[in-house]
Amino acid sequence: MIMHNPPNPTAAGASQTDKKHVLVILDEYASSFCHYVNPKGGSGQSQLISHSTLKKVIEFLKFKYYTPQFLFGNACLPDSYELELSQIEHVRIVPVSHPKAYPNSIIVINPDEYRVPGVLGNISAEVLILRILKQDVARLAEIVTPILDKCKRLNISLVEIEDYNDEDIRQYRKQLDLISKSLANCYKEKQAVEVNCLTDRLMLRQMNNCNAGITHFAIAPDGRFYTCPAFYYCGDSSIGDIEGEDNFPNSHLLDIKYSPICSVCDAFHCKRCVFLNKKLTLEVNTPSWQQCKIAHAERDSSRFLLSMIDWPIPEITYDDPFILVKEKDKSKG
Amino acid sequence: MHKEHKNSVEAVNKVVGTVTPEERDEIMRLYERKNSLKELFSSLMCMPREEVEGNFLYEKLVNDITKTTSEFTAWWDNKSVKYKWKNMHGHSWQIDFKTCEIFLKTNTHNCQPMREMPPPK
Amino acid sequence: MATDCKQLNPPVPWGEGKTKTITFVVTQDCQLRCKYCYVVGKNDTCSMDFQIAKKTIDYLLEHRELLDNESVVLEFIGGEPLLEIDLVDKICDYFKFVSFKLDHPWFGNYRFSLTTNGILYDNKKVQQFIRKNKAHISIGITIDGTKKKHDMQRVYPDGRGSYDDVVRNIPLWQKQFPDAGTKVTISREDIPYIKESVLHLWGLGIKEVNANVVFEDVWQKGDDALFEGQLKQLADYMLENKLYNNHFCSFFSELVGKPLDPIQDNQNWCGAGKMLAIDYAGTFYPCLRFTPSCLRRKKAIVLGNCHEGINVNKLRPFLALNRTVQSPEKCLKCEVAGGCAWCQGENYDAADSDTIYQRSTSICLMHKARVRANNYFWPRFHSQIDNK
Repeated sequence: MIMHNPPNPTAAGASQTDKKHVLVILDEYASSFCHYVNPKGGSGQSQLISHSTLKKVIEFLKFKYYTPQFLFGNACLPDSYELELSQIEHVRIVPVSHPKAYPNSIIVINPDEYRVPGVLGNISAEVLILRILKQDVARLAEIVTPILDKCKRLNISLVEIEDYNDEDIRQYRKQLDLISKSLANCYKEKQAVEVNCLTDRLMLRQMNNCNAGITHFAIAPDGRFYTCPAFYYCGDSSIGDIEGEDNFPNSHLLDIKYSPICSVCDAFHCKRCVFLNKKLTLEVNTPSWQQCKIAHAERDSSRFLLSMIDWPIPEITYDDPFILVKEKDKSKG
Repeated sequence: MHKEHKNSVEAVNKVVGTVTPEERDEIMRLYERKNSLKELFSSLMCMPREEVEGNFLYEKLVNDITKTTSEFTAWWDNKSVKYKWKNMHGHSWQIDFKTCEIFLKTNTHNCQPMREMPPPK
Repeated sequence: MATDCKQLNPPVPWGEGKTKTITFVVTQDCQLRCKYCYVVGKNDTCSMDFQIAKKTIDYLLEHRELLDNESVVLEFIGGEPLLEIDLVDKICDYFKFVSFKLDHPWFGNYRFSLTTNGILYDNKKVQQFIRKNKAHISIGITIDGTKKKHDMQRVYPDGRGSYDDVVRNIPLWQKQFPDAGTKVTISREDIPYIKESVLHLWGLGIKEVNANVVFEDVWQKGDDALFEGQLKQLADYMLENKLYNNHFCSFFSELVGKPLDPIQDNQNWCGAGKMLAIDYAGTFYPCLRFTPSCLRRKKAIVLGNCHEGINVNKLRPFLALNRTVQSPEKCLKCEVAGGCAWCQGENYDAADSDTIYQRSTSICLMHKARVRANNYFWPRFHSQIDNK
């Protein structure tokens, strides 16, 4: 499943029985919600998918029993579009600056948005995605801590990973440890909040990756399929379309068992972003050293978080609390 | 055949001893370094004289050649005493780097005493 | 004794497993236009400038953390490397000076290697270079077998064969490098001449013949049977004349045709990525076969350059690559997989997508033919040795 959902510790990675999800890009100028950057995003412009294409896409999704996630730009949808969307159960991924508040949607906070005063203070959503620039990593804890009580799940997504050096990663680790301390306090206050890069690993016993191209794919405004939006925006060829065209040679290389590095790794929470793999190493099955070291900084910070969660369950000598009631009565006499 | 002559014929081109792999590695390292220094010296001598004189590399090289040659000779001296290898006038020891065996070989007019076999290809 | 037998003891490359090979593609020029050559764009303009080589050497010696091998082989290829002997000589001298100056572990632990068409071997400057670096040099001359076979493929631009110009230098080469071997490449047209070519080379005194079929998708039905026939004839001759004692041909190996364990025998056959190739412009590649002039369909894979260094992320896929992850099911299940080789560059060029993780199986039938020939040779060999 796409990263905004909490991990399923019992899931056996990606399998044929996993229900397929599809991410539909509604707007050519939709900002990213993940590691990639849409070169057109953040410009304020809008170019919606054509209504006829949207209609065909939704028919296709219904026919295949796929669950869509619609990626919004900044523009509101015309009523005709809303009518199409209403025909299928879906999730909306919406930028925080969107003029309309959609209930139960996933809110994306982009780098140009979290700097705007008041934006973070007014947020409230079940799931938040926070995209962080490299230059802001050194104050990540300062940005994140105030929003921990504004959502049930926070996904931190680093941008510009290819530019990270060892010192940046050390800084990132430091910030994660600070966030871990805040999280531990939240739990003490009985506030359950998830942070993808810290809490996911606590629950996982095997890989829980993005699996783009395996359990989900993207449909772009051109109506064609792509492994994920990142591949569309970087000009890659499509992997198929609604009419049934299939053009995905060596798609098996997306599977973790064809990744010599990932198949021996235990940073189970890592998303194994195949777009970053392809961009930085030229192979979809090989992560860059930056991705690996970042995932391991997160893994180690998860261990640190674990060490701080100390809620002992006291030992007792009874197995039926009725005994307590009896003893209370006895003492009353 | 006179016994001594017969013995001398029998002794030539035969294994007179072996060394340990570690000892072999030691002489191989010295052998390689000696050759490298010799060839670097040849290259340096091909340079214009004014570039060579006063070139600190030249002095460093000369010192290294002296040191390495001395260590090289010392290795043969020490091991021959340690293992008591047979020797004969007009012959020299050679080592087979592959097998660690020491051979007693007849010197040719091109040969130097205590020469060694060429390294594995 | 059988254990001394040359065919049973294949030659071990110097520093095997501990050496970094750095390949300088000093020129794309060559006197010949060999028909099977993977350098498809020969020209006399793309020759390396010494400053590029100098910058490369400086980078390699200064980045021990990236290049921590015990020893190094500086390899010079082309085109024809002896066309740039002055440059090669200068590069070797520079390497010696700088590695000595830096007290680098590679000083004293290096080799210079060249593979040449042999035409310029007796040139005065070439001989001077050999004398200057005698203890550290390895030169291979490519001679493809009989005159007929050699001249079929290794031709001048006007179509003339080059055999006579090469073979006249063989005695000098053998005198200077008595244990040197040669590489023989077999394409479709060469199959009928395999036996006589190997015997011819042995007859010339070249006792080590390293031969392989081309990896490209050129093989057609019937080629494997012809190939097998030639190898069996060669086997018969070797056995009759006991040539296996002092001669070696890489077509025959006891490891060929053995099943491979998915865990124990999982290492990548090809050295692409573990070596480094540098072209005339100072661009780094995982191997010569990934340079633009050697690729038919795909874009070159660039690892970096002498100005900015190696991009280690581009290197990771090569270093992580193993046998099973790139092989199709039929290779993983193959009962005679041992000895079946591949070329990572050809794999990449032939793959359905831009990946090095798809193994080409163009030589499958040829490998199986080789297996049958080995299964013919080795029992007879052992029987002969045992009866002795």
